[in-house]
Amino acid sequence: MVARRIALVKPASVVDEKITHALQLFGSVLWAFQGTTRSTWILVDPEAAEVIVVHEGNPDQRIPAWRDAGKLIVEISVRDNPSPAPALVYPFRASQALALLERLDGQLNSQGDPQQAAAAPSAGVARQNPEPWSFVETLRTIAEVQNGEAWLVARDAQAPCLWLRADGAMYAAEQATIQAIRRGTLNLASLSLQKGVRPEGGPGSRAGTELSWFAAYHASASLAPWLKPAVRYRVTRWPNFGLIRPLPSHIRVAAALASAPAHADEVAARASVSVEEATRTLNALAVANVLVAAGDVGSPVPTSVTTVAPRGGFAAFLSNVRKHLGLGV
Amino acid sequence: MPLDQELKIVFAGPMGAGKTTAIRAISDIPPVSTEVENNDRAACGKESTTVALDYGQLLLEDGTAVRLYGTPGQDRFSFMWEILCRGAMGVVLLIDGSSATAVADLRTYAENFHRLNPSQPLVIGVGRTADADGRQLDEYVRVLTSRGIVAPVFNVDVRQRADVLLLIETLLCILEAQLPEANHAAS
Repeated sequence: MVARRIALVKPASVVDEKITHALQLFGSVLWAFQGTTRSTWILVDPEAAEVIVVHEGNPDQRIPAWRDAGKLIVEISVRDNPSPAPALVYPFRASQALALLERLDGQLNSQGDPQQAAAAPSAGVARQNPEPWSFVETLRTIAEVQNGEAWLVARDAQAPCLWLRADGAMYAAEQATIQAIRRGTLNLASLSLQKGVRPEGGPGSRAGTELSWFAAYHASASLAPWLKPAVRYRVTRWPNFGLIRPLPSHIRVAAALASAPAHADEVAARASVSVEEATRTLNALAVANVLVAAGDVGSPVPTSVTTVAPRGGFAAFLSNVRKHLGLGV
Repeated sequence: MPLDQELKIVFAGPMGAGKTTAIRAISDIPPVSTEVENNDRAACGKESTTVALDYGQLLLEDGTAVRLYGTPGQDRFSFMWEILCRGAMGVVLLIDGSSATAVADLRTYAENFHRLNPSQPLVIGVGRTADADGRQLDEYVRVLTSRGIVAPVFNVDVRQRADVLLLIETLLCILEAQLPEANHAAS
């Protein structure tokens, strides 16, 4: 039986007794039904947990960091208008809590390593899609319309899974969905997008640039239809990687294209990535609106850094710095 | 060793932008900070501030030391920027996005560092923004672009080590792209 690590985060001060009762009830369910769930749920500290249960609206500043670290954050609501699944609404029945645990277990199984925030494509659902660019094209269109008042809801076969502001600048989804978007395991092109409302008290909003970046990156191993293989492209400004949380290879490709124009083959060689990786990152940079054809604007003035030469050369030095800091290679 | 012969990364920015915090996040040694009580509360509300510089260090396994310098935030110490930046691998510029002078600070610091050495890698981290969609930073990028400066500008929280590492990784990638000899270091 798989052991799952779960933490309950109690409020720092009692603002609403119902919150305390709700968390106590959840803890009691964990204890009383031990051995009846598919996996064994063990109570641990939040730092060690895969799943962290908090009350809705908990202002604890560690929560975003936990979420970014890939932990599943489950909110228990005591309000009348609760968050979308997988939140529980207090008072809840034990069977609801058990169903939630089984659902979380399923998510953790499908996630694999929850600490890995994004992944380079492997099998890739998008490759099997006959229209891999349909979702990305939708994002490009709504970004041009600039309607920041309305929200769209994307549904898979069963339920709403993603909420998108109609200008594309913000989106909201549960952590498991976000991970799937970043990994490319959610087939975005299969989602149906309809007018909807933003889920009140639902998952926190994130920058739409993250969604469009990974949607474009995972859409296809071929160059996007609006890019031309023979054209050299360059980056005129950097994407906001603070919001995107890119893979290290994305930063290398962006840096290479910021220093000189290139097409996919050239940038692959310069950034020490595969041609497929370079192509996918070019697609993402294009959707982020930071890529231009080299002839469209003046080329950057070639620069050469005047810095102290490290003993053993720069290649070994930079490799050592990365190794020392644990930077992704 | 003379300052301009050291392998070093410079953390710059106005008072209260998080330079000391950023250095603390990655330094192998407790940062040496020359902090005193802040008597310029009009410019920045924090209790203490750096009056000369912060110093941290990365000690690599081959014995190479990479110095991490935090420049003093007050304008009157701006003469130190040039001294510290000479020969540096790059500059991490931190801006407090909640400050009323954030855009002016960005302009001042970015222009100064660009003027001192246009080829020196410059990475900009903006903290304390209420900017979930990143649009506040679009304005910052426009300010830089209008001055011919192409530099990464990221939303960051320097209290998070991962955010400081994102800035450093970007700086290393820029360095790599500009140094043909450094290519393939990441492979």
